[in-house]
Order: sequence, then structure tokens, then C-alpha cells
Amino acid sequence: MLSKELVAASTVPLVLSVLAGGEDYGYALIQRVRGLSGGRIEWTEGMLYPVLHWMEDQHLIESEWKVSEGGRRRKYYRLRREGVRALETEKNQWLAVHNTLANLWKTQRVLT
Amino acid sequence: MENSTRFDLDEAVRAWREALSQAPTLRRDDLDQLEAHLRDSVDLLQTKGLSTPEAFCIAKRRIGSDDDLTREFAKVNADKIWLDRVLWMVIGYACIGLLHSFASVASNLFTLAVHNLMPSDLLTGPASLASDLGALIVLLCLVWRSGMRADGFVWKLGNWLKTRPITTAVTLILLNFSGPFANMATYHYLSPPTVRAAQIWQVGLFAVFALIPPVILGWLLARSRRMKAS
Repeated sequence: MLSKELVAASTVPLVLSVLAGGEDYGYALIQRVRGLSGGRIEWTEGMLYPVLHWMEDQHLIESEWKVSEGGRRRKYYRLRREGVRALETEKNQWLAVHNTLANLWKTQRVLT
Repeated sequence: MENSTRFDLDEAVRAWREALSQAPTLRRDDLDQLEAHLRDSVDLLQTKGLSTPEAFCIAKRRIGSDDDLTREFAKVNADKIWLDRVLWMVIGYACIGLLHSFASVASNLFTLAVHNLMPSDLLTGPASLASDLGALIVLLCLVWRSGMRADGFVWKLGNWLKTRPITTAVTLILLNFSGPFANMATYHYLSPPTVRAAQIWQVGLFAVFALIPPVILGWLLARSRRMKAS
């Protein structure tokens, strides 16, 4: 399980990355992240929605109500142009952290 | 499994939603979204072999406690909620003003009829007062009856108005003007010339005041639409 801080920090890039693959609604988004992380990223599900609202306010994503085949109304989200740009920035930053850590751990493994 | 026959999922979801809706920070739209999520979650858990009450219980826990949800939504909704409330207040104020215009026109016509039938000052005054109050009460009762239910007439009208700022403002201005001018026409028959002059000025002033709520409303609606678009 990830720490609370890391979950909070990674929510926006995760949402942006899932939506980069096409529009989706909140519940499916959570299932997607849970599946891809092998169950290690667990959100308190309801907490995702305020984040989605905030992202909408920041023009990163936009939403639309649609009715599913089963007759259930769901709010679908998709990326906006600002969201695509934000995703690029996030990607660079996370990769920078990831690469630095990976390099450090690689050299340390050699040393030990 | 014998529990699942007695457990009413719709009732449980309704009670859960009802408890959440007590918080002013969650809007109807948020509640719809959370309810759809809860139902999706229950469906999925049921396909994994859980009974309905078990699935509901787990889905509820996963979505988060009422307190947590309320607190998190408050962070993002504060501005919108404030704007929404002011908007409803102004819509209410403008509608009451409008109803009052209609009521006073109806009352003036009634008074005029009484005056023509029995031209007595003793009768005209009370007739005017009674019909003024009567018309207003009848109109308010009509609104109350049809409007106080969720999804009732007033709710639908308010939501419809909220999506059309310019139409709403222009219509309200025209309607709010029509009342005073109709009144002016009836005063023309009712009042002695000296009083009439004062009354016409009064009506003119009322017409200017009638401009205020539609203008504020138009501005707020345009602002809220910009907020929604953003």
C-alpha cells in the first residue's frame, strides 16, 4: 500500500494518464487504477470526485452525463488540451524522480 | 442469503443518500454521481458472490464516510454553493416581485369593478386591501403547492432559468415592467388627478426597482455559467 502523501500526489497524474486513453467515468477509473497497480493503489473511492471537480475547475478535464445501456446515468470525463499539456509535465517530473531513484539503487546494488 | 430477500437495496441507497444530502457542501449533481458509483460498486461485488447486504456494506465503506466526503467536497464546492444559493434567492425575489405585480393588477381591476358598481369611498378602500392580500395569498399558495416538492414546478423552472441568463433577465424585466404599467392604467380610472400624479411617480420608481433583480440575476447567471464552463 502507498503512503497517504504519495496517493495524494499521484492521483492527478494517474487520472490524466487513464483519461489519455479515452473518456471514462469515476468508478471505471478507480477499477482501472486498482487493476493496473495490482491492488497497491487503493483510493477511498469517494475522495476521487472532489479531485475530479478540482481538475475540471483547472480546465484539465471536462465532463458530460451519459446514460449507460443499463439505464444508469454516469458522468464521463475526458482530457482537455490543458490536461494533455499537464500530463506531459507530470510525465517528465515523475520520470525524473523514477530515473534518479533507479540509478541510485542500481549503483547501490553494485556496491553491496 | 435469506437476508437478501428482506434487504431492500433501493431503500438502503435512499437512506444513505438522504444522510449525505444533509450536508450543504454536496450538490445534487455530486449526490447523483456518488449514487451511481455506489450502485456500480454493489453490482460488481454481487457478481463476485456477495449477498446484497454484504455488497452494500462494503461498497459504502469503500466510498468513504459521510464526514470524509462532506469535508472533501467542501474544499472544492464552496464558491459554487455560495453562488448557487444567491442565485436561488435572487430568482425567488424576482418571482415574488413578479407575483406581487400580477396580484396588484388583479386587485386593482377588482377594486375598479367594485368602484364602478358602487362608487363609495367606504367600500373601495377595504375592497382594494382585501383583494390585494387575497390575490397575493392565492398566488403564493399556488406556488407553494406545486413548488415545494423536489422536482416540482418551481424547482424545474428555477433550473431552467439558471441555464438561460439573458432570456431570464430580459423576460423578468419585461414582466416586472408590465405590472407597474398595468397598475398605472387602472390608477388612471381610480384616482383623483392630484393623487394620480403622485401614484404615477411611485409606479415609475417601482419600475426602476423592478430592474434591479433581473440585472443581478443576469450577471450571476452569466458568472455561474462561466464557472461551469471552466
